Amino acid sequence: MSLKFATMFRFIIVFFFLFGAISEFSIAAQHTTATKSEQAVTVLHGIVTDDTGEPLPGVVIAVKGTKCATTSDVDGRYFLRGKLSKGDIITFSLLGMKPMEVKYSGQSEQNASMKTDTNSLKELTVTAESNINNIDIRSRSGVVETVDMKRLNEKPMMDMSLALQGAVPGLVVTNTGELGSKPTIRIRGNQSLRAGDSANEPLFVLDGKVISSDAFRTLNPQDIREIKVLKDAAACALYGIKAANGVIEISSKRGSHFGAVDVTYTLGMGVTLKGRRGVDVMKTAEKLELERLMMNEATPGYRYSEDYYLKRYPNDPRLPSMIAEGAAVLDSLRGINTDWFNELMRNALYQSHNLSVRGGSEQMSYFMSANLSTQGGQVEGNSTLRGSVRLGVDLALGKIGYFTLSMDGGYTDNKTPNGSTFTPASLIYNLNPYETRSGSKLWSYPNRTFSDLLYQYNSNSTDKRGGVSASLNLKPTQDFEISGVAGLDYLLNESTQFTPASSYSEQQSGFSAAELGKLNKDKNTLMNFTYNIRAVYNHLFNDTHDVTLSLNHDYYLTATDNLGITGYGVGNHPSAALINQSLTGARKPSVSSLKEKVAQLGVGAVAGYTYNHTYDLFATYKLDASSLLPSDKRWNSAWAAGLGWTPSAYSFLEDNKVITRINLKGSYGSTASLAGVSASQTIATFAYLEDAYATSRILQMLALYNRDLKPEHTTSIDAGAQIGLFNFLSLDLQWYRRQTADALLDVPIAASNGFSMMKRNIGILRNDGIEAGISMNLNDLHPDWRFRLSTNVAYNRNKVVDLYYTDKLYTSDYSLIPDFQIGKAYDILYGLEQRGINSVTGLPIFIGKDGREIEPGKTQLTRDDFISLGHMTPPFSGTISLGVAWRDLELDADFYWVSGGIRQYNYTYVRNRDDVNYNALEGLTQTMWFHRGDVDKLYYSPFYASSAIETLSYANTSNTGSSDYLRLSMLSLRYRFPQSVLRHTSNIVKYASVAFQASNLFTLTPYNESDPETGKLGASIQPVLTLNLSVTF
Amino acid sequence: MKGLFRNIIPAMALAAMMQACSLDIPYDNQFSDPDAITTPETGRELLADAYSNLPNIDFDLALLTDDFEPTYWASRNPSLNNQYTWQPQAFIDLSANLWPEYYSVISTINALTERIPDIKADTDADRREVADLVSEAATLKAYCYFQLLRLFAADPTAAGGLDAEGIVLKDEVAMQNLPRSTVGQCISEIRRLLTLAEESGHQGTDPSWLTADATQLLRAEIELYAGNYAEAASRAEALLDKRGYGCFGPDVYRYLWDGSQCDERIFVYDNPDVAQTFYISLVYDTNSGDYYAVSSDLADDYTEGDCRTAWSIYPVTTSALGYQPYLGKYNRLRKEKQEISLINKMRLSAALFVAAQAWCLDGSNSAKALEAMNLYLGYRGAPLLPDNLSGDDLLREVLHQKQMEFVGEGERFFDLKHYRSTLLSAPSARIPAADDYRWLWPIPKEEYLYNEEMTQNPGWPKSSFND
Repeated sequence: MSLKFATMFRFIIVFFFLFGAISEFSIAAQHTTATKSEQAVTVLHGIVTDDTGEPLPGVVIAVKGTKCATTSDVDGRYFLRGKLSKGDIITFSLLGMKPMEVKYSGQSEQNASMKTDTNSLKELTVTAESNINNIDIRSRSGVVETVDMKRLNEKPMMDMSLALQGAVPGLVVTNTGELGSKPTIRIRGNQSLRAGDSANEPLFVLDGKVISSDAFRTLNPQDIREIKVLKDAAACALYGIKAANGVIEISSKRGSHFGAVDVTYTLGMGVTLKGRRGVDVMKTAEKLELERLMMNEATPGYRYSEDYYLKRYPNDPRLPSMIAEGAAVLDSLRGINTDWFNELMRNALYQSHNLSVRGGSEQMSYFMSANLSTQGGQVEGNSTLRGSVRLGVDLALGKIGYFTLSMDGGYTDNKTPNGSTFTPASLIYNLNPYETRSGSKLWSYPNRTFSDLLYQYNSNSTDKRGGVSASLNLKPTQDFEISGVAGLDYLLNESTQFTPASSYSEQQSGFSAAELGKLNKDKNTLMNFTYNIRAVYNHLFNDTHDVTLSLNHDYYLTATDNLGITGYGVGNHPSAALINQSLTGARKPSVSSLKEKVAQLGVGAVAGYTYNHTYDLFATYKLDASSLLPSDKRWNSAWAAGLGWTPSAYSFLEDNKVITRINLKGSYGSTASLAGVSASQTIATFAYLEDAYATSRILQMLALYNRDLKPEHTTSIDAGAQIGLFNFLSLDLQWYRRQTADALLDVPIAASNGFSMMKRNIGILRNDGIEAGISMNLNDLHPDWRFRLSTNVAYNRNKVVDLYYTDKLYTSDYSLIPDFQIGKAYDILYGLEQRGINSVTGLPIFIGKDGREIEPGKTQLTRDDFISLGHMTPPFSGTISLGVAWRDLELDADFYWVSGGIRQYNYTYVRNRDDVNYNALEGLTQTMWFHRGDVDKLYYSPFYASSAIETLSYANTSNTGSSDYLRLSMLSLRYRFPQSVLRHTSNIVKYASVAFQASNLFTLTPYNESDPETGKLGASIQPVLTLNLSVTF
Repeated sequence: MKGLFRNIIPAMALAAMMQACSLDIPYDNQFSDPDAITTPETGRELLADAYSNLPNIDFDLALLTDDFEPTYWASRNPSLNNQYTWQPQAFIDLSANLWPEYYSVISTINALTERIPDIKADTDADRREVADLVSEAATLKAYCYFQLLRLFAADPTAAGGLDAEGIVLKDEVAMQNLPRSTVGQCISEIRRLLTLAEESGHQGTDPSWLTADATQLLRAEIELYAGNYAEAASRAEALLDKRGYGCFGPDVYRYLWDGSQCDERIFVYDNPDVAQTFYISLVYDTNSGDYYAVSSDLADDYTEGDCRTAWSIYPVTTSALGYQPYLGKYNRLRKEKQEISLINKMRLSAALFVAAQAWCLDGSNSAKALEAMNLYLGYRGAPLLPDNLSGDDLLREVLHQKQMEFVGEGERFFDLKHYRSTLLSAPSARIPAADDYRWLWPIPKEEYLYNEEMTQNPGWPKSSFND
């Protein structure tokens, strides 16, 4: 705790220093504007939206003929302060929208709805754009979706990637465990049969520079202006083969060019809740009864029962007194009823401070921010802290260009007590209700007390990151633009895993005192360097033919340098200086190291053509090379072609009141991917081992290389339609089919080859899906009311289309069920069909092939006995998001749901005779088979033979459940203080709002066990409730 | 001049950029072809991997034989008990480890063999080292084939033995699904490899590597195995003559175990990190004792003056179990908390037993065998064999002395297999009859599931995924 405050304190000091430095600057800037409007300062405010009702950020609102101007914020809100007189013309302008003019007649509020400008291209002016791959023509035929940053900012969540859950259809983010653990992020499913992030994770690009997914997680949502999700080949091909799994483009907030200085402080304070209680476990009375029924002498329920004494001492004259003594012990235990969920799970605090300064002039603008957030986890010792600072400066280079500079730094600290042996969360299900924190001996963990269970292990991981990127946009002539961006991102991860000498496992290890206490310390650094140069030629011929040609060259370098030490004998101090270096044998100190540099080089060309704003043609080709591969396999290409058609641009449809927009697009693309493949898999590669043979070091061949290895080849077809109706409704429909040929996988090979596995091109897989969205904005029904509803659904289905060498592929010698099968999805959970519990044997009745009955432990199972139980990855996911505003009060809610998946229950809480010393599922004494003749039971006998274990452990129709869930992922009630109130602050406060915000408040699910998302008992996504205050000066 | 600048400067800038963006980035600890194995040192380091990966199966084989008897603790370890009682599953488990381990060594040797032509050797010393590498690679591969053949194939001296199915002969570093060669073909290949090793010549004397003497001993063993007794005897005798019977003396013998330099040693396994766990599975508990002890009959045959006794039997008397003749050797080192750094793989006494068996089996040279045996026993300090021994009686005694010499080292398993229908039929009730299927180990699942060409030895399961 003290450490956390120390770090926080450090941040505050740094921040005030920064703030002090810039405030002088901003006061000077304010001074100039203030002199002009000394006499009567008028204030005009409102919301700017597009014709579908979406708020438009970045709109310039100016008073014609004066220097008085401002821009709209992320919610489309603006606040114009200056000397206004009746009859002045207020202009609204934004690139790509038709400019609007409104006459000022003394009103204090002026909303505006701007229309898309189809003629905007000829007015292209140079803009400061650090992400130079964000060229306009791309989105006309490719699928580029924008994340609603307003809603993202309403979610009190620390992890940027988890906050993206449900933000865009087809972008699936799945939580994997406790606070601080890394979620999986996938765009339109897994493109590869290889599991894991390296082959399936999208590419993250911040202000034109590539960043790692870990760096992305630490970003502060309030520093971000825009996040774009690139889903199809046409959109991604500009990035080449790196983008085979899609791209997430992040643009940071920039300064403002209109003289005003905004200082915004946002505070979020709140609590995190315990989350969902997985299964209910037994209270004392039932638990003791269960123990008696299971007859395990290591449990008090049997050991002190009458049954035990009668069986053990049937003829002992002291029998009655023994029985009475036993009953007394049981009675004393019955007096205790500990709810371990309440004992071990906790409510914790959440807080977030954010300060930003935004301002500038026409020549130079700046944005600075600092953020500090902390969140406590569900179990003691689990917490996360994040601090970040950011600076962005844009500088105009005369009339021909812009130079931008972005710098950012961040600090993240994750702590967890969850080590390898057991997690505090698992204790909820293991500790008995008659046990207490203070009690001496535990029945559940013999010879241990409660304090021997906690403080056994802790792990601390901090990320320190810093990045800088600079971009140059030059437009020497009206038609030609050349841009370049270079960026460097550095991540230092330091982690410590510590098992103190006082821990139970160390005490029991049998080593001497000088050898106790294990410390593992790692320092991992990751450096990303990016540069990208692009030249774009764009010309509109005869007002009809819009031609774009572009060439680019990019380079990415990733350097990893990791060093780790593991040592023993540190006692109870997690310090590497205490490692006992005199130890030999199993506890000798060890060092590990990894140093790796990977570079990718690419050249690409893009051509685009638009006819009369109606037809779009787009083609791109990119050639990339990776240093990971030998020179003959190094170069791989990605290309895509797209078509777009916008019938609403026809003159007969222009200004149509019903159909405001129709756009159809389609694309086809092809990408080669060698993500996750290393040199050792394609060419003989040797590495030194840590030990030696005789007088020689050992050089080992790393893998059986496959000289014929080809890259995976993904082709994708996309089609989409966008329809705007009545100015308030917009429909979006997309279909895609993505097929990966020559899919790579490590497959088992005959042992006489000297290796058990080899990477091979094994087959073809396919992902196809549909994404649909409807959004409705009703702003004009009543002046005081605004209403917004949007919903989207994404469906993804995968299938193995072909396997080259076999029709069924097994990745283990002992698997009974193929991992991949032609014509079948690759995330199917196979299992047995169960028909109740046999009332005589107490074992489940499984029905196998041809209706044969399988007796666990006796019948040999064959593959045909298994049936498909369902998909492990839910194929459906979607969001419902709702916004209602009445005057200055706004209510927003987002629901996220997934459907169609199945998950096997953990079942650890269903006990058998050997582990009944742990607590069990509530009601088990009624629902479990104990005696011959017990009928209609849910759970099989606790007295089964060990030969039956294998059959019993397979998934079956009764130990699996649907993992569907519906989650209230965001709830926000915000009150914006009206200008009439703010006026009392002598206009010092420009905007102020207060909000109640909650994330992941509840999850509804038919999965009646653990968390349906993570599948872990006691690791569900944490509800966070906060009070949020935001003030802009 | 202007034009020159206009062209040269961008060209230079471009060249500099391309230079900075070179994609030929070496790894920190990864070396790829063609730059990986180019010197005699790197060749040696690759070969060291092959040596280091050699399976140490001494204990597993010895447990199957009549070297051991269970102690009170044996029932506490069901998996060792399964192995001791020849349960089929134990063989399936052993094969699943051994087969891939030997082929992993073979694959490393093949990788080296493919790269030896690219090794640059400019000095005489380098050329000498390359010749040594060629010789060692061939001998080590022959050694692996010989071990596999003895475990997985029928005896070549049995009827039709040469045409029976042998093992897979593998020469390429590439994924292949190869059929088994016949035992005859395997023996020819082993002979070819050993001849290649001899031709290349080996000048070294360090027993951590396979020297010319190791090649010679292996050749003698394979000839004995193939029934070519005269050749076996002459090769073994040459080795005995070269090293001298003096190596069998008690002063030399104890160096075999305590890690000192030892003249009797021909080849040792020299990776102390691996060696320190050797024979650890025999121990139930440091204080309580071992799961198995040396068979009491065998233990009783060791006499006081015999220098083998102190290193073969580690007697422990406890109140709980009484007298137990635990195994000595590496087990003794562990019990005495001494470091186990070397594992003996080949020693001169093996040559003696090859010669003695060959002379006996040849029929006409019993006297020579007896003379050699008594010379050896004399140096060991053991009682001599009676002068009138000959024929099968002598051979039986030779095999008994061999068991005493190599107790706990697994050699006995191969003798039991070889002589199971003659001299050593059913030495104990636990060891199955000569026609039992378990004498030929099962081809592991790891092979036959993925190699359609592979056949299974009789009596063992061969399932497929489609069953």
